[in-house]
Parts: sequence; structure tokens; C-alpha cells
Amino acid sequence: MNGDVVLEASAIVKRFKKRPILDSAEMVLCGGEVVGLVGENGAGKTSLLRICAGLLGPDSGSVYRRGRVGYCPQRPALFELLTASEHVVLFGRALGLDRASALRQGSAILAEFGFREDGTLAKALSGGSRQKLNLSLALLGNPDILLLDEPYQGFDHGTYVDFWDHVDRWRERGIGVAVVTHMLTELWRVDRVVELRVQHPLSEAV
Amino acid sequence: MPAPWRTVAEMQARDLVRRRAALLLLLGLPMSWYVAEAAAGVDYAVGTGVLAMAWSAAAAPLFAFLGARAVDQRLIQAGFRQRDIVIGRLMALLAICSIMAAALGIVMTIGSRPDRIRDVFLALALTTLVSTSVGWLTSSVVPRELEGTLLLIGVVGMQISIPVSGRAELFIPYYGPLRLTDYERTAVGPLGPTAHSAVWAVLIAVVALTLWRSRVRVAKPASHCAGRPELTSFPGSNSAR
Repeated sequence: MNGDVVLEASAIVKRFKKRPILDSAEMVLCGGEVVGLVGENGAGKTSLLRICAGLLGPDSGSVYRRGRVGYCPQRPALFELLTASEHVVLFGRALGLDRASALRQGSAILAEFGFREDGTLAKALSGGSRQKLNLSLALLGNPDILLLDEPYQGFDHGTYVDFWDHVDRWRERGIGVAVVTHMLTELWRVDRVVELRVQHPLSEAV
Repeated sequence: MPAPWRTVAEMQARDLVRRRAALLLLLGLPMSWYVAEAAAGVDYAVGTGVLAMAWSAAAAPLFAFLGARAVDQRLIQAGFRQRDIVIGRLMALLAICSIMAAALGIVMTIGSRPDRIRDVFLALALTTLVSTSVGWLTSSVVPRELEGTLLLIGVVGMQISIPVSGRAELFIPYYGPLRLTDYERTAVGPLGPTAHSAVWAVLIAVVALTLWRSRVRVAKPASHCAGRPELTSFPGSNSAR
């Protein structure tokens, strides 16, 4: 961990209609640090991650970010009739990468996860392959902050183990990583755990 | 390196072109409607074809925007500007729908031998323009394709029921193309219908854009101080620093 704060969410309050989801939630993430975000279903893990990424506005509170955010949603957000390479070109262009650079970088990331691009449309990919593409798109452009919402859903056991090895490498590269997870047996691989409780203020365990 | 909207347009076009069955249906509907009316000897067969094209040209943006609903916000979070996505997608939709409209125009020209061929193609172009906005707006107010399709059937179908005369005609989005293909009335110059359609297309697009923007908005950092993280502040924030 290099110590610099790259993300800080303070006093986050969020309600959906009248149902409180987050009440004074706090989260701090430093560069080169891995934070595990845990909690029961409905505790607001996804909401907090979306708020940190800027995709959801809280009712009150503030989020500080330094650097570019790579966000991997829980359910792959893909165009069903585009191939993996086309997704890479599209998302790469959003980051200012030309086609060749995006394909070069995207292919390398996909290969790290054992994804072989053969022109298959997203709709025909297996659940695990869709998730690999989903995760790879978040990694394009070397983000400083990675917000990953259960990014390993659909992975087979080997890929799941590899995923945590990748997390170690991202940490070594100085990336701040927040991972929503239900896999409590893997929490030894994170630096800190942030626990969200249903309708209760957030507590943090180090 | 191409402008960002061109990459969006390219990928949107690839996505649409791969929907072969849907495209065939979108082209087949106005074709079959026109052919059925023309075969029955109905005077208004060309107008019917134009109106059927209105439904097809609105259905394409409906499916495109609804299909991209989950991805658009992520694309903006990744770095696209909202206008890159809107311009790129609309350009692709207009191009593909224009090709379908041109094909229909050729069939109607051959089948009905209308006196004012220019008006037929202008009517189809205006229909495509207005319908793109109508389809986009529809996608912004419905949760799924089914509801959107039913809404489009109602909206487009209503255009026939409303009498195209008097001041009421100004409130019909498809007045321009309907007037151009109304052979029971004296010919009208292209300027009025074109201006009317353009105004309606823009008005509807502005409403659609407003709704779409509220759905895909991504909070950007409000300020940046050297050495400190960027701040995204929200209403009611009590922790500014």
C-alpha cells in the first residue's frame, strides 16, 4: 500500500423510496490497497460501489476520487450483438485509445483471464466468459481505482483462484481495489474488510 | 483516430445490421402494408406505406436505446461524453432507416407511379426523421420493448384517425409526410412540411434527450486540488473539505 488516499466516501446516505439502504456509510481506499466489501443481501454493497463510481447519486454525503475509476458491474453490461474485440474498441475509444492500442491492450487483458477471442458475439458467450469480458473492460486504460462488484460470478474454480492472484498483482501496481464479495473464505487476501449491515450504520474491521 | 461518435456509430450499425430478422420485419411491414393497400386499389396506398414506415423507423431506435440502457451509463463512466453516444447512435439509426425508406420509396414509385415522386421520397425522409425522435422518446418512458411496441402502435395509428385539416394538423407530428402524400388535396411545396417535421423532430428529441440524460448521468468530480483527491459533491453533502 502506498498510503495515498485514492477514494474516500463520507457520510453516504441513500434511500430507495422510503427504505434506507445506506446510513452514514464511510469507505476509504488507498493506492495499492485491497478492500473487501461484505454484508448481507440488501445491505447496500452494490449501491455504495455505484455511488463511489459516480453511477448513483446519494441522498447526501460526498465522494472523493483521485485518478481514473474502472468499474465492473455485477451483471455484465454488454452489447449482446458485439464481439469481445468490438467491445474493447468501443470502450477503448471512450478512454481515448485508438483501435490498434485498444485491441492490443484488450487482447492482453483478456488473455490474462484465459479468454480466447474468436469472434463470438457476447450473447453466445458462456456466463464465465461474459464476466471475463466484463472485468476486462474495467481494466482497460490502466485505472487507478478498481471497483469490482462480485466480478468472479460464473468463473470456474481455477479462474476464481487466478482472479485473486490478479488482485495481488493489481495491488503491487499501486491500484486501489474494492471488491464486493460473499466469499468470506478469501478475505485473508484483502487488506481491510468493510462490512455493511442492513439498515445499520457501517462498521469497519481492520 | 476517428471522432468518438464515429466509433459509437460504427458499433451501433454493426449491432443493428446483425439483427437480420428484425430488419427484415421492419422493412417487410411497410412493404406488405403498402402492397396490400395498392392491390386493393386504395387511393391512399402510398400514404399508408409512409405511415407504416413511421412505425418501422420508430421501432429501430426503440430497440437500440432500450438494448443499450444497461451499457450507456457504463460507457459514459468509461469516458464517453453523452453527446458522443447520442450523435453516434442517431447517425447509425438514421442511415439504416433511410436505406429502408429508400427501398420502400422505390417499390411505391414502381407500384403506384405517383405524379409527385419527389414528394414521396421527401415524405419518407421526413417520416424517418420524426420517427427516430419518436422511437427514442418512447424508449425513455417504457421499461421494455413490449410496452414500447404497443405504445408506438397507438401513437402512429392515431395519426390516421386525426383529421389532417385545419389548425389541428399542426399538432400532428407526422403532418408533413401525410400532407405530402395526400393526393386528394392540392400539392404543397416542400418547405412547409419539411419545417414542420424538423420542428417536431427537434422538440421530441429534446424531451427524449432530457429523459435519457437523467437516466445515464454520471457524477463527475466537482473540483480538483493538487495532492488531494477529486471531490464529487451531492445534494445535502455535509462533509465538504
